[in-house]
Order: sequence, then C-alpha cells, then structure tokens
Amino acid sequence: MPPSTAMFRRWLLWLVLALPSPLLAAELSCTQSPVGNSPPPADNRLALLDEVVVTPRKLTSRTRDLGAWLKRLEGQYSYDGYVDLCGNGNAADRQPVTGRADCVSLYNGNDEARRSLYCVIDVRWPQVRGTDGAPVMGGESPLSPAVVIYRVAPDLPGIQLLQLDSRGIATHARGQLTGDTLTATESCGYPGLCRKVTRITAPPDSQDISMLIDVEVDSRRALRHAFLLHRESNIQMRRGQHGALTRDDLLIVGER
Amino acid sequence: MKSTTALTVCLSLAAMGAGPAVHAQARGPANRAMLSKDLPVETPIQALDDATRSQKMAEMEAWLGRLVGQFSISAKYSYYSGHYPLYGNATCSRFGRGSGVRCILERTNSAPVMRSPVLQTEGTWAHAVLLFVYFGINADRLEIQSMVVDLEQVTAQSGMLTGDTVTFSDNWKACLKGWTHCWMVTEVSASAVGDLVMKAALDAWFQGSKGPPMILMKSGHTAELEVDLRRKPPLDASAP
Repeated sequence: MPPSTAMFRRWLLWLVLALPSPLLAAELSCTQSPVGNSPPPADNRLALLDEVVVTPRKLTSRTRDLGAWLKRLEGQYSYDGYVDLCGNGNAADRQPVTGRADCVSLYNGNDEARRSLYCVIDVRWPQVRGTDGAPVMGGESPLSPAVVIYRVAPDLPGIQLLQLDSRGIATHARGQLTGDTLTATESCGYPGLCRKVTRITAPPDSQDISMLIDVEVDSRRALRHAFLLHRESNIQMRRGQHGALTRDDLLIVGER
Repeated sequence: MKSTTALTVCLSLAAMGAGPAVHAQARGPANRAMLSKDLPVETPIQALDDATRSQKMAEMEAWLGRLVGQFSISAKYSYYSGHYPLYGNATCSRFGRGSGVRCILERTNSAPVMRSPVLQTEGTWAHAVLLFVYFGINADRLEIQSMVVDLEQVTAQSGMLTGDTVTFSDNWKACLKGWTHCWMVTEVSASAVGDLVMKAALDAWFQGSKGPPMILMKSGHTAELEVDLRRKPPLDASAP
C-alpha cells in the first residue's frame, strides 16, 4: 500500500472513532487465514450472527407497523456475541461480549407514530491493544455505558437511531424495515468511503434479538460487532395519563 | 434519587398554560422559517485539516466539562398570555469515561393549575418535559449534540459552539409531526464562571393535525422556557 494511501486510510479511521489521530498509528495483528477456516461458534444461538439472511420481503412503510416493531425491543436484556476487530470473520480475532440493556417505550398509547424507545446499555469486551501497545479501532468498548434512542420516522418511512456512547460521541442513523430486520446506515464522516451499517433483527414473539454492526472502509468490512440480546425480563412500568411514564420509573431505566 | 416533579414539568406546565391558544391563529411554515434563528454556516468538516478538527474537538470537550455540577434552578416559563416562575434543581454529571454529560432536572415548586382540555390531551401536561438532557459531541458535524428524554418522547438536535454558547436549530420540522408537542433545546450558555443558561422551546400541534404547530409567540414557538442554573458550591468532603 503506498504511504499516501495508508495515511488516508488512517485518517478515515480517525473519523470513525473520533479519536486523536495518533491512536490510529497502532496496528492490530489480524489473523490472515481465510474466512472459511473459522471454527463454528460453540453456542448454536451465536451461529445466527454469522449469517445475514436476506429475505425478499416488502419494505415496511406503515407507521403502525414500524411502531409495533419498535415495541418488540422493549425489555431487559443480557448480551452475548463477539466483536471482530478485523472484520474478516476469523474466530481468532473475536473478543467475547458481555453486557446488558434496558429498553423502555416512552409512549405506550395507540398512536404508533409517537413511539420512541429509550435504551440504556452497558456492553463490554476485553480490551485489546495494538502490537505497539497503542489503542486500536474497536479495541475498547465505547458502549459502557451508552444511551440509544429509537423513534419512528414516518417521513422515511423507517426508524431513526441516535446513540451517545461512553466517549461522549453522538452518532445518528436512519434505516428501513424489511420483514423483521431494520437496516440502518450512517456515514463515518466521509460519505462513500466509510460507513457504519447496523442490522437489527427482532422476530415477533421472540426472546432473542440479533444486532450486526459493521464498519466498512472502502467497501471492506473493517470491524464487526455481533450481538445477541436475550430478553431476561420485560418489566412493565406504571403508566399515567395517555400512557406516559412516571418520573420515578424513567429515572431507574438502566439500573434495574 | 428524588422523585420530585421534573423541571421537565416546567416545560409541560408551560404547555398547559397555552390552552386558550386553541383559538389563536396558526401560522404557516414560511412565517416560522423567517422566525427561526439563522444559524452560522459551517465549513464542511471534510475541508478541515486535522489540526482544526482537533482544536474544535478540544473546545467542545472543554465546554462540556463546564456543564458538570449541581445547580439550583430559577426558570421562567412564557406562553402567549403571560409567564410564571419555576424553581428546581439540576444535577449534571459525566456520562461514561469521555466528555458526555447527563443532566437530570427536577422542579421543586408546585405547578400552577392550568385548564387546557385540548393541550392536556395532546400530552403537554405538567409532569412531562426535560427530565433528562444528554450532551455529547456530534463527530460527523463537529457540533454539540443534545438529546432530550422526557416521559413520553425524545428529541435530538445538534448545534455549533460559538464562544460560550451553543445555538441549536429550532426548526420544528425536526420534530416528528406525529407528535402533538415537541420540546427543543434552543440554546445553552456555559460561562467559565460556572453558571449556565438553558433555553428551550415548545411547539404544539392539534391532535391529528398535519400542518405546522400553533405559533403563539413572537419567537414563533408555542411557549418558551428560560432556565438559569446557578452552580451550587461543591460539597466539602472533609465536613463531618
């Protein structure tokens, strides 16, 4: 790779991370073996995360259906899965994930256009440093804690996501729902060259939700977060007039 | 954590007060566009060099640090036919290990009783508004990001930092029209001295309305809230 290209790529990664550029000087030693050599995950449930199932289904555009899908995300979850720091599918580059999430629907009435979801999450994985000991992209969880907000976007039509992570960095994405899967794309600061793609699959009446979050640079996957969320409970909060939460209940979201 | 009514409340209070607004004439988007603040034009971030980016990031991180602390609140809620005071407390603390900040607001004085059948049914009743206000950095736009989470909805806006002040867009189009009201943070000032000023605006719609919000004030909003946050002295850890 020519030096100028390498420098440009590092700059893009800086945009992705919004971290000081010296951090990107670090190199991560990625496993070079082909993707197909990866051993199967020990947990069958996690095998779902290795597949991207594309089902030719119609785009969901009705506000009512978008809101109903958002409501599937309500609950208190535990996290399983991995972070692939090289994005190439090699098991050796995966870091196991643990964590939890608490998601509550702020509005619980019949008007699905008003539905929005407030989630407080705490997701961790072992810290990884580069060969020179410097931080690398994705080497430390920015999700411990983080706030994620989802809301129906009737104009798209689809769903909007906004996340404030533990570094204080806010990111925004919009996506559309096809079948049970929301696919949202956001720029990494330089459209066309770097993007983050989030796929969330929430089947009806399921206790499991899968999330695949890929960072792609030059159309090549550079980082993958593969999360499997298992609903541990779905504690229903008290609702006041018109389905609004009480203040006391909202204050304990993420601490239950 | 205290369970006092949120300052949030204030906001909603305000909304309730705007009941008779039902009879006021709603103006169109063009009028609102003229009333909306003209925000400074930002240099595309792609055009910024690394040094400039780093400097802007450092400035925003420093500004966010000024928000941290405990404050007493003195606020004025203004609506089409008057205003009333609101008092309370706010605690702003670091969120995570970076520069993010979460403010929790609460109101301590009782809310005036407002009779507004229309607006109350639209969700602008007294207990709902500005419970949480999160602040962080929108790295894509190199702006300060705010996120308001209240008892029934969320709003998110970003704004540019100039001096001590972040001015956010007050474009009601940023609100989802399916909602019947929308609180927006319009301005936050954080001086180096330590006190803060936070301004918010409320836009309300009739239920089922597809048109623009009811505009009842010269500002172009349905109601406004100006909050002075006076920093409380830090607790003395050595005190008995």
